[in-house]
Amino acid sequence: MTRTAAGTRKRRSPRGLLSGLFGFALLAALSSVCSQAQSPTTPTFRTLEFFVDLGSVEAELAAYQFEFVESAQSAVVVGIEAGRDFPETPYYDPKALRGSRVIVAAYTLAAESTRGKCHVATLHLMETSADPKYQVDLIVAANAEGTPTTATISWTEGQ
Amino acid sequence: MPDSEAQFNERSQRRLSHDLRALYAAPPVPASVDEEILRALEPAPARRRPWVLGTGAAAAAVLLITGILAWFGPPPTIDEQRKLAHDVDGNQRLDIVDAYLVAVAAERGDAPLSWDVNGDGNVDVLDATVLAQRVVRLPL
Amino acid sequence: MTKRANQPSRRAWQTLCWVFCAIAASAVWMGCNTYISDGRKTPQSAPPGAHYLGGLGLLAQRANSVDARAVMPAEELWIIIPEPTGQQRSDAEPPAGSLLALTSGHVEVAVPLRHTDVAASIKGGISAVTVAQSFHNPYDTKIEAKYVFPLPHEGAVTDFVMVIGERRIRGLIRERELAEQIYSAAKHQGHVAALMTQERPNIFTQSVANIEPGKSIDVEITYFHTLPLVDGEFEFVFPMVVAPRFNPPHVGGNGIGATPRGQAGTSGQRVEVGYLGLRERSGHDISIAVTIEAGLPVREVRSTTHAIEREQPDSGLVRVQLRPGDKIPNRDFVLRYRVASETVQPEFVCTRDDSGGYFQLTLHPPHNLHVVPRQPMEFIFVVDASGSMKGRPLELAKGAILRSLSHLDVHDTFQIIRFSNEALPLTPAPVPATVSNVERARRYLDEMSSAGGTHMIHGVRAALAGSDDPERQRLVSFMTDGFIGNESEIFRAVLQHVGDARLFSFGVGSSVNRHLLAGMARLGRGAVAYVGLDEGVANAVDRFYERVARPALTDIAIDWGTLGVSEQVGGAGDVFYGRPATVLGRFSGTEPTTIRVRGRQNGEWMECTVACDPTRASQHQAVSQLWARKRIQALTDGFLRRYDPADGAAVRRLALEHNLLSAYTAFVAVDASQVTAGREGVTVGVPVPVPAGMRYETSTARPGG
Repeated sequence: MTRTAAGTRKRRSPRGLLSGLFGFALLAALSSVCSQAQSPTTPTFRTLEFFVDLGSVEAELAAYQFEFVESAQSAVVVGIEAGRDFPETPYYDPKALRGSRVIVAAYTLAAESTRGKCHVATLHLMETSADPKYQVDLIVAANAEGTPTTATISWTEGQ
Repeated sequence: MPDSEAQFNERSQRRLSHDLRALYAAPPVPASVDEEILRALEPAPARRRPWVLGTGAAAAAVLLITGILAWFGPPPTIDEQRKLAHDVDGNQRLDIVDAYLVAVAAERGDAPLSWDVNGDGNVDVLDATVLAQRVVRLPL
Repeated sequence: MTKRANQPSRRAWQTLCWVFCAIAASAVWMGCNTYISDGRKTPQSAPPGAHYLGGLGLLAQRANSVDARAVMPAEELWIIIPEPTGQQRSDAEPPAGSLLALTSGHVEVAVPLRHTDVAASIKGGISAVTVAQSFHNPYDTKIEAKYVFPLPHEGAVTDFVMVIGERRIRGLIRERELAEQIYSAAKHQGHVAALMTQERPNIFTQSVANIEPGKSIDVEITYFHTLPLVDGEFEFVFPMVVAPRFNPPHVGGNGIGATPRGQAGTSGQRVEVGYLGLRERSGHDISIAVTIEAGLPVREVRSTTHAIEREQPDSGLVRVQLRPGDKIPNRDFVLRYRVASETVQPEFVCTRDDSGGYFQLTLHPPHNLHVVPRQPMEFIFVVDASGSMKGRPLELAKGAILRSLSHLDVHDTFQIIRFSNEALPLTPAPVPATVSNVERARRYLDEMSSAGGTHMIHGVRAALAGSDDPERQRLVSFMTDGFIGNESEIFRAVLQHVGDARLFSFGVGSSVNRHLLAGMARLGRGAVAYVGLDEGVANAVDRFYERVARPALTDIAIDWGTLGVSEQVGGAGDVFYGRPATVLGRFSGTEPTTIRVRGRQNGEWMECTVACDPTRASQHQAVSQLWARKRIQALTDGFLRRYDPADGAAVRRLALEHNLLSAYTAFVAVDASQVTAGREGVTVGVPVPVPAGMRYETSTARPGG
């Protein structure tokens, strides 16, 4: 029996090796699949900073309103924050939460401190895929007299 | 009248005069005849009919009104009138600027009572807040 | 032969390989899904005894389940237990560096909640309240703070802001599952995040993730609330502490657990509150400031629970705040005031938005709701004699019954039922209110003591069992603190058994469960009253009999004229003397109209009219959200009869559309701009004091519940 067992061990070794290799291969494949599967499902968080540019450092920004849309349905808004140059917490529509569309607006009574290109708001987002599609439209920007002024809006990814 | 059109008319009259002279070379036709004929060829002024004028004016007015309505939209419903009741800057649209103007006036203390958005009998920063919340609202 | 003999062992070897592969694959798979499984594993860097959120349900519960079974199922457990060992302590164990100070004979315990600031503005009977909770990490490791706290059960929570230093991140309402996923993902990735969920209409959980050592994070909540008008007084209530609840064994893990500080996970409940020990105090304090702008002279402003400072710059404006020395959050803050008015007018408040109009109409009982000779009645007094009522609460309940008995005459019958572990009636059937029977009741009350669990279901069934007395209207009066975790079961029992009886509930204590007591009264077509520990019962009882003496205005029907009302909530019940009814609804009309309210008193029809001009009515922006909150309550009441998934979807939709916190929605805020250092932190609960007047040793921690 001992010899047989020894003989069996001899015969088993290549099979064991093969089984082991197969197992490792399977593990490697599963790991690969898992890591691939994880990347689209693991959400990532990022911020988008919105800037309203009045085109001149002399121009004051007293109020702004813009619409933000994420059309790929692959990101959700998880927070809305005032910008560095516009301290008032923006207003938004709670119903914006069902889609990724939101109207953001704010005004300030201290417009003299908000001139030129202003960081007006930050949206905190959770992205569930790597390919969200963002679009932003400025509805109105106004100076301290309440007069709508020519302005542009842009956004950058937060630091 | 544009210059090009005037030049064209001048050239046409000269060519017509030349052709008439060639056609009636003998006996020569006095220049006054040519002038008479040319005068006759000028388009006669339209007969002024009062009813046509009236109809035209009415049509123009209708077109004008229709255009204005088309431009500014149909007359507002009662709800829309109410919605626009706080269109402070009168641009026929509620936006954050209206809320801002209410806040500014409330701070100065010279806001008219018609800007009392929340109906509490006075105009203060709360009215601006309510208005700001209203303007960011998305349609259902 | 050899070959054949080797077959089984080869198969075994292959099987072993496959099993190994499967286990390894599972391990890899679970590793890949750490995020999805919410990290239900204890991080290796955990300080000794630290409790991690991931292990909230599993490890700690299993470890303590043996202790749980050692407790008799029907008994309440004293939560004073020997000083926990390092193994037992599962949360709130301050790591090195935290401070424990000794002040005036109390040990001050470092907790991650430093201060709560409440600012209320009351206009037209609607309060807008902002609650700012200041979380702070006094430890030397990163933490997640969890705080279970109360708010008014009919409050509509509509706004949520996370404040980090100077930065204010406005949170958003989401479906609860999604909000929890967002919060969990943010927490695991090291982002500062806050999540607010509703556990009961009056109990909420605030979670704040990744608070770094020494750092502070504030959370600001805003809610609106219609103040009840009781006997001519407006009543503003701010609850401060969730009292320990008794969870009968059959509720499983859906109750509200109570544990001693540092024993998280031992109650067997999904939601649990840790309580400070007898000589312990936390640094958490509270400040409250209330501004009342009534438009009419405000008078008789008083608090029956706290010392207040008051200023009244003009007759219609009052500012109230807590006195500096009265800042321990261990009981409800109750503020009452009257508004001078010659006549009590129905009040119509409305608001409009793109989805239409919303209104709130307060219907006052007609002033000619006259006194008529009261018909003989059958009074059933039900007393909560469980351990939590020990001391002053039970004495108040007894006093209320004795006072009530003095109002009865020989034509009435009465019964007294005490309940704790079981329901025990004074007599087999109600007896006439004769002198001898009243004396017998007095002796019964004298001998009554409190002990055991709050098995309220027995009391409800015993009290609402079919009446054999066709001559008398049955009035059931519950006297309890309502400290139970199975409210839904009680509501369902009331609905099933109330029949023609009317149920009046008396809340007795400093922090009663108003959600339960008001719900029982609502479903039992009665009214609710509260008696604080420092109040006499005489007034409350006398007012109760005043109400009983004037038959309610029943069968109320409202003709709304041209107002175009839909989705009306409230107003279908009866209007009692001293208790106006509030009706909310949607409307589409724009023209002035007359609202006609008809009701029957003692068999006679009465009618009153209300002139209403929706274009000139008072406006309040919160009316739509208050309507939505009431509508959710009505839909939820409907679940007690039969759960309809469509109604569940309607609740979800309403809450999302109106930005409302509910059982189906939650507020979440994430700071995506930065990632905190290190792994996710230790979860630390915020222990709270046992409510004033409640004995610590009779609190209702029941592991395994």
